[in-house]
Amino acid sequence: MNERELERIARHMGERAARSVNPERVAAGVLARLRAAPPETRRPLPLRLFYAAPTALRVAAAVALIATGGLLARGALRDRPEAPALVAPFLPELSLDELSEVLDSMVLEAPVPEDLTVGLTDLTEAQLRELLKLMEG
Amino acid sequence: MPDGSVPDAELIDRWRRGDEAAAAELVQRHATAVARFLGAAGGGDDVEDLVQEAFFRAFRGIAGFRGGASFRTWLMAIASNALKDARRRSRRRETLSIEDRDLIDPAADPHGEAVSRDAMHRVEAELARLPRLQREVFLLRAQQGLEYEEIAVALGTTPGAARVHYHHAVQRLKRVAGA
Repeated sequence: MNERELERIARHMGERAARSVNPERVAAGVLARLRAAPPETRRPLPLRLFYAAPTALRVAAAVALIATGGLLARGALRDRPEAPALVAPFLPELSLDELSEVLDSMVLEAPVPEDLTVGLTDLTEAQLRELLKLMEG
Repeated sequence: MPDGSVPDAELIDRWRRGDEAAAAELVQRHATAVARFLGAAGGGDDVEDLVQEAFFRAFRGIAGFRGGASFRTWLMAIASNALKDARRRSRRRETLSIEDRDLIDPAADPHGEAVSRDAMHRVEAELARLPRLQREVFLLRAQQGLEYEEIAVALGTTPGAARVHYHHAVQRLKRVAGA
């Protein structure tokens, strides 16, 4: 079987599902839900930055921020006056490219497993709040 | 591609101003393609609900659509996430059983004599066993005809990685098809 035949099979896959869907019914259902739904609130900038990034970057960012927070907390406990400068408060000011570059240089040296499916969306609300608190310094 | 004379971008602008007819027209244009993708990707009996969910999320979050990709590409990204969320909720295994899948209907394939039904079913079964990204990259490329750059946007990866996923998927599917 060559690639063209595979593509032809792929085009026919899902055909039954496509035929079973009634676009008019879908449109009516969507519009009814939209009328009933409250307006979507915009996430705060730090979370928007994170949700806009690929999953691997979001995981890396979470790891980096939690690690940074841990180091800062440990430094504070030791009462060292020359504690390292805060990193988290500056993150919201970075563009996505800058954020990616920083994270690449910090934690993405190891290959990310292809099947990695864990992201910020997998964190509980408490964990997200803790992360946001860390980000806000 | 949209089959109407009014471009998607114009319908999107109209929806942003609250025109429900424009939203309904966008559903008419793209629902079948989204359903085909979701059906082949393992949406099972929930395809219409998933299609509805994808459009609901898209219209509700239309402020996030910047026009960097086509509306259909953006929609495929949302559909992929909706499918992923549905699976997570139902705690289904990532590898689907063939019974759950939307098998090819030979009647819909009038030129299918060259490929045996057996080979088709083997391909479908193997597609169900592929890692999610490989499966979705393959479908977006082979079924939906998207470019690697568009696939990368839809699935949150890079064009190079999408190309690699597609290559791996094709190699595995060819192997079982020719077995």
